[in-house]
Formats: sequence, C-alpha cells, structure tokens
Amino acid sequence: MTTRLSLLSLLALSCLTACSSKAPPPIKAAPEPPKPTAAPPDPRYQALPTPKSARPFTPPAVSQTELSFGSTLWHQSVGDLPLVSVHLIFPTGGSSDPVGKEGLTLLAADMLDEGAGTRDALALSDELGRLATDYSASTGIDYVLLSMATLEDTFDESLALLADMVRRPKMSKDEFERRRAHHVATAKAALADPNSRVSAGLHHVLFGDGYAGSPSSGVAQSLGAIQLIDVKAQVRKVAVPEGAHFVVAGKIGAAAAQAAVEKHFAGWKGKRTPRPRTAGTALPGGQAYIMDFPGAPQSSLAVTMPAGPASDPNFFRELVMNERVGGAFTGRINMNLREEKGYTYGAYGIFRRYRQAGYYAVMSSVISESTTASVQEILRELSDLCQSRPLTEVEHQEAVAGLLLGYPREFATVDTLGLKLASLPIYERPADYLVTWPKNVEAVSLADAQAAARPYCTPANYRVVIAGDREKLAPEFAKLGMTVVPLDQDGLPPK
Amino acid sequence: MTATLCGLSLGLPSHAQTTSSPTGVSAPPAAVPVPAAAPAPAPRSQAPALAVTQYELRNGLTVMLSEDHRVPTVAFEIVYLVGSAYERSGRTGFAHLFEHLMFQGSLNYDHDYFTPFEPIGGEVNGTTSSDRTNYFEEVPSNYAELPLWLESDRLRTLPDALTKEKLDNQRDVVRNERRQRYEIAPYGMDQWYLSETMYPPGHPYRHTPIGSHEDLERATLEDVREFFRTYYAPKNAGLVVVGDFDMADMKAQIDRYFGDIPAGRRAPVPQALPAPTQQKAHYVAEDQVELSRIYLGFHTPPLFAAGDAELDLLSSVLVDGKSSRLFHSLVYDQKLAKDVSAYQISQRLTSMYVIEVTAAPGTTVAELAIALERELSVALETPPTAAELERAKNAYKKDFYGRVEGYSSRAGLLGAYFLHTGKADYIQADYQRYDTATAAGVHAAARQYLKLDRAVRIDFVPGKRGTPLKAVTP
Repeated sequence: MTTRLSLLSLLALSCLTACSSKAPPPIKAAPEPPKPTAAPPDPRYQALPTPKSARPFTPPAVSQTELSFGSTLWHQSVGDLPLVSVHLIFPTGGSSDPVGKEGLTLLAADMLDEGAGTRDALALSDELGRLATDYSASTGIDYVLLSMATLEDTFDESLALLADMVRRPKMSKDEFERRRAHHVATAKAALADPNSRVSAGLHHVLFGDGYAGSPSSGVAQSLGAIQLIDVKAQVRKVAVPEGAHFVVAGKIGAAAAQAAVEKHFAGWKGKRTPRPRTAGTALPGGQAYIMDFPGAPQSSLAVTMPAGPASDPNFFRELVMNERVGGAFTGRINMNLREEKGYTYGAYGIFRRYRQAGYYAVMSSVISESTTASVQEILRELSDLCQSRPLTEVEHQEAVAGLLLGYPREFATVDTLGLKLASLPIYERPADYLVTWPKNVEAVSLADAQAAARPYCTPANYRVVIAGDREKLAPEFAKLGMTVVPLDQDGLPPK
Repeated sequence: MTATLCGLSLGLPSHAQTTSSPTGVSAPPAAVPVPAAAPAPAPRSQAPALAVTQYELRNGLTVMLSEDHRVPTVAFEIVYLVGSAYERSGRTGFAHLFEHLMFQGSLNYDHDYFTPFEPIGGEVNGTTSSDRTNYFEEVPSNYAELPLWLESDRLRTLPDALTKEKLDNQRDVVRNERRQRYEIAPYGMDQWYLSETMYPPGHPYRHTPIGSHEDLERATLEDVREFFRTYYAPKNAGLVVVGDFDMADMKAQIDRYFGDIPAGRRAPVPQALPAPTQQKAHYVAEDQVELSRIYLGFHTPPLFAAGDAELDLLSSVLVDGKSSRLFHSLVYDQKLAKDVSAYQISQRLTSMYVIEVTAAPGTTVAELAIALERELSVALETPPTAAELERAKNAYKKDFYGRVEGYSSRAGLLGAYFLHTGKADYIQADYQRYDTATAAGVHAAARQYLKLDRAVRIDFVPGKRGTPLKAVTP
C-alpha cells in the first residue's frame, strides 16, 4: 500500500515560512541607537532593511510504501543534480547489547561490508569505489543505519551491493578479528579525547547500566569479549526485513526506487528479536562527576539532567523554550559565557532524544580557572527562567520565527534530506511529520514555552560532568557545596 | 582509512573559526595533460553546469552571481584577500582575531552580528585561512537585502564602533578557541607543528591562522585599525551571491550598498621564500594520546599548478578503500596501524602533502616508521592501475556535485576560484584536471614530490602535553 500525503496537507504547508495571514517578522533592531557622528547620517543605514513578501516553500512530498517482504520504503524525489541518498534502517541499536558485550550491535553492523555475495572484503570495497558510492554503517542507541551516498546512474548497482551485504554477508573470521581490533583501538584512542569522555560519563551518570547507559561503540574490554559467533547471531537478529525501513531521496522517482528495492530484496526473510535494556537508575543530581585530565588548560563539561524521549508530548515546547536559552549562538548562555565573560569559545544547550529516554545538556569547554564560575553562570541562567527572567515575548517570537524561517535550508541538499527522512522511522515519527513540523512549532505559545522551562530550572536536578584537572577542580566544587564523584576513564563511577 | 577529497578544501563553518586546511591557490592549470595510456574509463558523471555572472563595480569590488531557485534562500560570501600569511612578525593569529571583531558591530549596527540573523533562520559566520578571510550568510530570499546592508556597513565603518572591551573579549574567546580546538584535542597541534618544521622563519606559512597566545596578547586597537585600512577595501575583495534572487534587482542592490565605498587597493600577495632544499628532519611531540601517530610532510606545488590534482588522486590510490596501497599494507595486511590518511593541503604559495599513520595498540613508533617508509616506497614504485585511477577519478568527479549543491557551499567554491584564479567560472577547468589526469602523471608527481629523503617526520607519542617539540638528531 502506498500512502501519499494528501494534497490538502501539502497546500497547508505552502505558507510555511511566513504564513499568508502574517507579515514577515521584522529584522531585530539594534538594541542601542547609532552613535552620533560628525558626518550627516547616511539615509541607507537609518534602519535595517524591510523584508519583502516571502516565497512559499513546500517540502518535497514524502511517500511511504509497504514492500513485499515486510519492510517499508520512504521516498522523496528532489534535486536536479544526479545525487541519491540511500539508507537502510534497522530499529535495533546499542541499547540491545548484553551487559559485558557492549559494542556487539556495532560490530555486527560493521561486518556487513566485510565481504558479501560473491565478493570478499577487498573486492566489495573496490566495487563501491568504482561506483563512487560512499558507504557507511553507524550504530546508535536505537538503530543501525546503513547509508549510501551514490549517483543516479549507479543507484541500482549500489542497491545490489547493499542487498548482498544484508542478505549474504561472508562474516569471515579474519575480517572479524580485523574489525574487532580496529574498534578496540578506536575505544582506546577515545580515552584521550575529553569530549568523548564527557559523552560517555554523561550517559553513565544519567542512565546507569540500563537503557542508553552505555556507549554503543563499546569499551576495549567489552569489545574484546565479543566472539564471531555472537556477531553472527546478532546479525541474524538485527539485519532482518521485519521492522526495517528503506529511505531513498534524490533524483530517483518513487516507482523506480520501489522497483529497484523490490528487485534486489524480494524474498528476504527474517524476524526481529532483540529487545532494548530496561531503564536504569540515574546518579544523584547536584554533584560534580569528574574524569581526570591532569594539567588540562580547559574543562570540557556538560551540565545535564534527564528529559523525555523523542515522542515526548513536550517536544516542541521544549524545542522553542531552549532556542533562546541554549539553542542559538545569541542565546542567553553563549552570550553570557562567551561574549560577556570570555570563558569559552562557545556554550550550547541541547536536547538529545532517544526512543525511550532523553536528556538536556548545556555543553562547553571553558578555561580551567573559570570552571566553577561557568557552572554557576549556567545554573543561574537556567534557574532565572523560573524566577527573575522568564522567557520574554520577544525571545519567544524570535525563537519561533528563527525555527520556521530556517526550515527550508534543511532541505537544501540530498544528503541532509536523506538523513532527515531517515530520522522519521528511527524515532517512530509519522509520514506527515515534516509537513506538520512548522505547525507544531508555531502552535507553541509564550506561556507554553515558559511552562516548558519549569522542569529545567532547578539547579539541584543537574549533574555536572567534567573532563578536566580533577585535583585542581575538586576543591573548587567543594567550596560550592557540591560533592565530587570521580569517574574512571570509561566514565564509570566507583563501584 | 580516511577520505581524502580535499582538493579545494573550504574550511568548515563554525562560529568564527580558523580553517586548518585552507583553500588552495592560483596559477592557471598547467600544461595540457597527455591522454591516458590505458583506455580511459567512461566517466560516471559530468562536471555540473553552472551559470556564473562576474563583473566589477567601479571601485574594483568583484561581484559573482549564480542564480538558482530550487530552495527559497540566498547565500552570500565576501572574500577578503588577506589571511594569516599576511601577518607581520609578532602578530600571528591577527587576521583571525580581526575576523572575530568583524562580528562585534559597526557604526550603524553596533551589536553582535549574529543577532539579526538568528531570528530569521539565517546562518552567518566567517573563517580565516592562510590566504584569505571569508564572511558568509544564508538567509530566506525575502531577507536578501540584510546581508548587503550589514556587510557594507562593516566594510565602511568597523573602526568607528571598535572598543578596547570588544578587543579584549574576543582575544579571550580566540585564546579559548585555541585551547579547545588545538591544545586539548588529541594530536590537535599537528598542523601547527608541521608548519613550524616545514617552513623557515619568515615564511608566510610558518604559522597557522590560530596564532600564538603571546602574539594574540600583543594585538592593539591600532593594529586593528591599520589592518582594516590596509586590507578591507572593495579592490581587495570579492562578493559572491548564490540562490533565489532576481539578477537585475540583486545587481542594483549591490551597487546601492557597495558602489560608493572608496576603492582602496589590492594587497600584494606575500612572497613565498624559495622552497627550502629540505633535508630529512625528524621531531617528537609529546601529547596526551593513547596511540602514537607519525606524520610525514612533503613540499608540493600550489593549487592548480602541475601535479596538484595528480597528488589528490594519489591520495585515493594510497588510502581510500581497503585495497588502497598504504591501507592494505599497513592496516589490513600487516596490522601495524589503526588507520592511515594522506592528503594534499593545496594553498596559494606552495602546498604541503601529509601522510598520517596511527599505530595499532602494541606497535611501537620505531616499528611503524620502518614499515611506513618501506610500504610508501613500494606504493610509489608503480603507476596506478587503470582500476585504481578509475576509482580515484570517480570519487573526485562525484564530489563536484556535492560542492555546488548547497548554496553556501557553492558560494564558498566560487569565492575560492576567484581567490586563486580571478575567475569564479572555473569549475569546468577544475573538473578537467581530474578527468584528464593520467596514471603516468600521477606516478610522476608522486616520484617527484614524495621523496623520503626530504620528508619532515613528526611523531606524536604519549607523554606530557605541552612539552616543547624535540628535534631528533639522526
């Protein structure tokens, strides 16, 4: 069955960037008047220019088709350049890895292109090169994503290779040992990267040993414990048509895309069996969790707390709320820490969503001496949202307008479009999500955004996760009355 | 293995950042290449067709326009022909610090330059490389006048809005940028060390755009004013506009905002010191890393000079794909390395070819160095096979589509062509370099430039970060 979005909903979208009933938002005036000068004022520069009327924008139509072998095809036809973005999504990710074998799903996904069909690993790599097809496999908490950036005239041949990979992978022992050694080395190399450590620590602190608590990339020890037999079994559970989604975006029509996928995948069989871990327990808020980087001139930090999953009913309210706090360059936190205090090159607040959980984090790398001052400023900015400085009407308008007016740019390239489309099945979003997105943003009122801030303005709820000079930082946090918990290199707290 | 498509690397946008792989160079394409000895494989793609209108305003500002109505946005890029190579002694990092100050307000809009763009969903940023500084915006097409207003105002009046507080604040920001992107990142000082060891004192590329803390501390308000007077003028700049606009209307608006700005002058291009007759050199850098990494640096020809595209193609032959020569020997077969990458950093005055190899756990630097020298020698013994050359060419040719697809990316590409050739309409000629390259040409460039007895080698080894670079006496 092919579901095409109704004409009605597409028409409704056509006034996305500036709906017909409204004039385009004026450009924000400079907060201070121009300084007086000796020369007569230049009439061209008395005010910022007024926008013209907006050209309507309609995102390309999305079609969703059930395929004969039980998977779903998502398609968007776009572009005049011969580029095609292909993704195959399996809704199983690192959250299904057994305890002690973290990295199993990653290794399983990674093995698919290590020889398949009639080709060994080298021949398959050469063939992808001949086709100029960039192939990658990535594994998240909730998914495996096999991606190809290819050309119109090599789309069919590329799809044939993808079918070989998921239906006829060779899974040889030699290649397995190479890839396992590679990922062990990658995990070891990451121990020296402060940003990677903050990410690992943050997940352990917020999600314990449950869902989303461990990195999908595994750690050296867990990767070392994985055997080829485990990987083969995981491939049989994960790389199956049930629940799988194909995404094709670019210069290929819907019928041609469907015909090609059917040609190469018809008769593919398999049932999806893994289940994600259940939720774990977060470590307490109001504490500083520090991974030691002795002598580091900066502290990489996250001020973070749990948030709802991708399906959270407050998703759009929180999106709008965060925009002028931590989302934009000119949001409150970056303007304070960077442009006023000069503590950092940048500070941003983000919501990260998974299928069953999420978090909010303000992230930055700050000069070591200003670490506690930065944390205090971040917590003060968040706390002010419920006290002395709630979001203002102007901030709310700027947030909504910025999100809506920036939306067309997200459809500018086949690659970004393909990834955007892939995010729909990954997060179990409906086919009309891209059409309703602007309406959902626009529906958030100032009161909604202010209310959405409430769960995020209590400093005691936040965990401060830091990769920095622990010996220097610990007494500083103690002065603030915060307990310091050391985390090891893998981001784990003491047993 | 690492993708090596960096022929005309354009620097990633981020809030006022430097580019570590700056855009390459000048010089028209070299001699007409000899047809391939092996039968040329059928191209899998053609060079994307681009209509570009280029003209000069009466004050010498070069204007380049490329109309496209696929998405209702317009991208702007203004390129100033000044980068870190133009900095005077004792002022490393200044061109980039200046770039930051360009976002701090002008006479008629004395406020952060990000402020007017974010509430209209626009993008705005700038980057500094050795050879140029660029400023770019992408806005909904009905706001297309805004970037012209702001860019022209700061080009007219920046010093009028300059204060000591702004300079001091951005100095702190830039020093934090240096700490974050170079000092606490594993191997983060690699390009800095390569520049320092490859180029002699006084060479324009002796330092990378981020500069040193000491020099950043020295920058004064008068330095800023003088730099502005010297380099920020219509004659020393090019303005690129790509996207959803009306040609006649855009030309009129550009004239209205830029046409009466005093012309200034085109800054002379810094003179590259003669390429040093490099002897083999070896250094050790202690860093907070888990795995050692070896860098080899070689002096190579500028962007668009003979051999430049061939060296790009060579990178694919060496490190792209599992059967590529260095990846196959060092990583796949002998398992001595975790990964290997190779890339030509094409620049205006001269280029640098870099090979980096990260040791696998358990491999010592000494073992890795011996293997690298041995396998590189083997890899360079024979020309690419027909299949290797076909793969390399197909990857580069496809990459051209990616470069022109997004409006901002296309504006960056056209600005780079303007910088290096004077002509924005250069994509066909650029594409031809790759399309017509031969196996013999790739082999000849490899043999001529990648000589191990002239290589600069830097080993990054686990140790105390910040320890001065140590020269190893042979």
